[in-house]
Amino acid sequence: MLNLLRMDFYRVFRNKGFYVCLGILIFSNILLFGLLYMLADPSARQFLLEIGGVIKGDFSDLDTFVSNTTILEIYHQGTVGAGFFAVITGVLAALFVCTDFDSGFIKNIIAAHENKWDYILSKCVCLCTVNLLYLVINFGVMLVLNMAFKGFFKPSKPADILFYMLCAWLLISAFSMLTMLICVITRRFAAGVAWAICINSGLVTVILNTGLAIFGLGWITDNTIYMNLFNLPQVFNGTYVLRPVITAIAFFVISVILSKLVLAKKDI
Amino acid sequence: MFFLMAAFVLIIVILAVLLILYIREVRHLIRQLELLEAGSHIELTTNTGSRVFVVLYQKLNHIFSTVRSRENQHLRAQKQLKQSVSDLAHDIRTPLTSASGYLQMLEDCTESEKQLRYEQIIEKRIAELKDMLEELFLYTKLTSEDFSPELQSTAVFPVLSDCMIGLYHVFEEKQIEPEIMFENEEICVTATPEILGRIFRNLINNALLHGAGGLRVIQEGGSIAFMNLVNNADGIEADRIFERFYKADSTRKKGSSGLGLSIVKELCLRIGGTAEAELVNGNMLKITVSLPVAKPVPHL
Amino acid sequence: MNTQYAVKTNNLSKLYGTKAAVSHLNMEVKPGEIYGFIGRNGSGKSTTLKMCCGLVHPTEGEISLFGCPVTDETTRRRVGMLIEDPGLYPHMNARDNMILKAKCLGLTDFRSIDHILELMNLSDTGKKKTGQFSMGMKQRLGIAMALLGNPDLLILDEPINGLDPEGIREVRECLLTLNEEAGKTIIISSHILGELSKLATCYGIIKEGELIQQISRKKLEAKCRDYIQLKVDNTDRTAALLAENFPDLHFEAADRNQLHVYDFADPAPLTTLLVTNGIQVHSCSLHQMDLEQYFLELMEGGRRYA
Repeated sequence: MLNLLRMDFYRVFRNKGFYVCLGILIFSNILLFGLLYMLADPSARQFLLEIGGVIKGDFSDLDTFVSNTTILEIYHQGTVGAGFFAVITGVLAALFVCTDFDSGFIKNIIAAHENKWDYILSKCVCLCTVNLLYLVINFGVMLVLNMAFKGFFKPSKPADILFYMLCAWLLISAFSMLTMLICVITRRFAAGVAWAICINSGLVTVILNTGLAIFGLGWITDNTIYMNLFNLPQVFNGTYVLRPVITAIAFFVISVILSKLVLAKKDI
Repeated sequence: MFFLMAAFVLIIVILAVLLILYIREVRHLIRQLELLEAGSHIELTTNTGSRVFVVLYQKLNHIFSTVRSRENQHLRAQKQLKQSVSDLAHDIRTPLTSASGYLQMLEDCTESEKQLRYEQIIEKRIAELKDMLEELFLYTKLTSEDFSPELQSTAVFPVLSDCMIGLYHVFEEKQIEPEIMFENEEICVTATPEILGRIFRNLINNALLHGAGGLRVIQEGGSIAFMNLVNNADGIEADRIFERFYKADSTRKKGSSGLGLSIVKELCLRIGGTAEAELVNGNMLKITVSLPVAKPVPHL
Repeated sequence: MNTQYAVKTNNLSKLYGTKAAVSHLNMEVKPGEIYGFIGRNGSGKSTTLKMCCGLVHPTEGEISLFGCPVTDETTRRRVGMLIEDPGLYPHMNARDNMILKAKCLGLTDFRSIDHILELMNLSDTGKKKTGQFSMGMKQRLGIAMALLGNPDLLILDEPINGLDPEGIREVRECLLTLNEEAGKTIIISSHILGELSKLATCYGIIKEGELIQQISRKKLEAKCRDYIQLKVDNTDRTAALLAENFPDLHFEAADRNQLHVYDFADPAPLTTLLVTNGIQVHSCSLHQMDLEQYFLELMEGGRRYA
């Protein structure tokens, strides 16, 4: 398994995909930060009006809003909670897994490794590492920007950050594993990407939620990954912790086991 | 306190994992060694990639491949020997078969003229056979460890001239006029007249028997080059020309044992010189013998 | 061990639904052989070879490589394979692909990569991505990847597909060297029977999933000898003489000056007869049909050769 892991890491860091996706996310975060800064900071607002921009609305609340919002909340509201982050990592996961099948390299891998767990687990560890790197790097960028603009947003407590990161990481990795499962079943890049876009962005979940809520069954969708990610608290309080973690781990483990079974069953 | 306990547990877990990985790696190595024992040639591979094991595997692989290449060399040498013996047998068989055939015809023949002719042919074949075996014995003697002639300063030009004169009738028969271009006709090398004579005779014979005409001998310092035209330059591999029994065209010419040039090379090496061959201008063969120059001996 | 087979399948079958792609296949490949696997498209060649590599699980039967089951991972390291199209990442260059395979196998020394690339004439591809390679280059890279780790058994499915004559010759020489000097066992399947006949020491012929014949090269050559070809100056007189002296002889006049004699072992009595009767025999040779013809006839279920 470690051999395949080394191989996967070599491939991930050697290809453009990793850096392109990271770039997209960093860019989105910077954009978000910049936009909020433009609107919330009085001097910036003045600058906008001067260059001929027209701003509608009342901004008296905005200042208080800004000083009360933690950087973590902004991070969450920006790319993570809304699902964009999960979509990007989902697409990267689909690309990563489907290239093996499309190119036929999977033949080389399976010929050398009879035990399918080697393949599944190495992909698992690799994708989780990539997700972690993405989360940490993006948050790092936000922190740096915040400090550069002299603590524009309220800083978050370290415990909160740790908790949030852990849960977000588990949930996003669960999404990646689900995407991997679809890729192993269909072996098509198009299917994997379509899944990533529809499911990871929460499109399907939200529609489902609306539909089920009519029948009072809205609580079912509260156990999906997306809803947990969306509702992820940015502060560490006792009881609410369990649900995202358990949901994430459940989806994670089930996807991994199913992937292995499907891979073992089907011929290469 | 809690953190200390957690850290402790974590360390234990990590150590346990490492231990398990190392043991598995050793088992993997044992399994691979079993395969190698069974005759496999696979390169040893690692499962964990830890530094110590990688170095171990690299060294083991190196040792095994060295052993294997030595084995291969040995096998190749054996094969070459078998091939040489087979070639020799082949070369001997032809004149012998011919002589035996003529003997049979002689027994059945009654005309005295034909009888005489057959007898002459049989004699010639036997003489060829004798020459061939002589060459072979000479070659064996030269390649044995005991051969250590007393070397002295020998003048080159006189020896060459003697050889040329000795083979004059062949030159005439083939209508070839040799060109000799010596930079320094007084040049001397460390050898013996017999050795030098044998080298030159074999080289001239080679040119006369297998060449397409023309012979030029050029001397520069200790290097003496013999150049002659050849017919099938593409079929000649210049670096194999000194191999025992190597013949450039498969239809082996009569009267040649295939050892002439091997003897030349062997003699050169024995007296501390070299012999090299190359194809020049696409149609000429150039064999250069480089011999150690010695101080000239005053003329007697 | 020399007493065991490099590859031995026992009653191997693979069913897709109700259709049997491979049925009751008993293949035996001795170590050090070059086994030529012949069969039409869709006859089950690729499926069988995939099963030998562990890519496809058999429905029935077992495969053993060098005496160990095919599911044993360490034994699988003794096999290098190229099946169907070479599995290459299109967005990476040749060297990276080799490095990835080397890491996958767990090789410790990457110098062998450059050595193998040189062997296959791929050292100067540099940064060119494999997606832009010509088919011949991809095939060569596929063979190169199969050679990583110095496997004892090479399973090559149509390796010369898409190569130009120069490339075919190079691959052939390379495979022969590997077989003679390194003692590798090679299973090679190809459509180009002429090429295969230059390489193989043993043939396995598969038709509709069944191995209809497994035969060594010597025995095949013996089987392929079909007639004695006599070139004479007077075919009529020759025919008469043959009919008179060998009443049961089966022969036919093939040409103005040629006679074909079937089912006759030794031409010596024939030539002696003809010459003593004043016929000029220009040539007398044993004609051998080529592999392609033999194979086609076998597949058609045509003339049987006992």
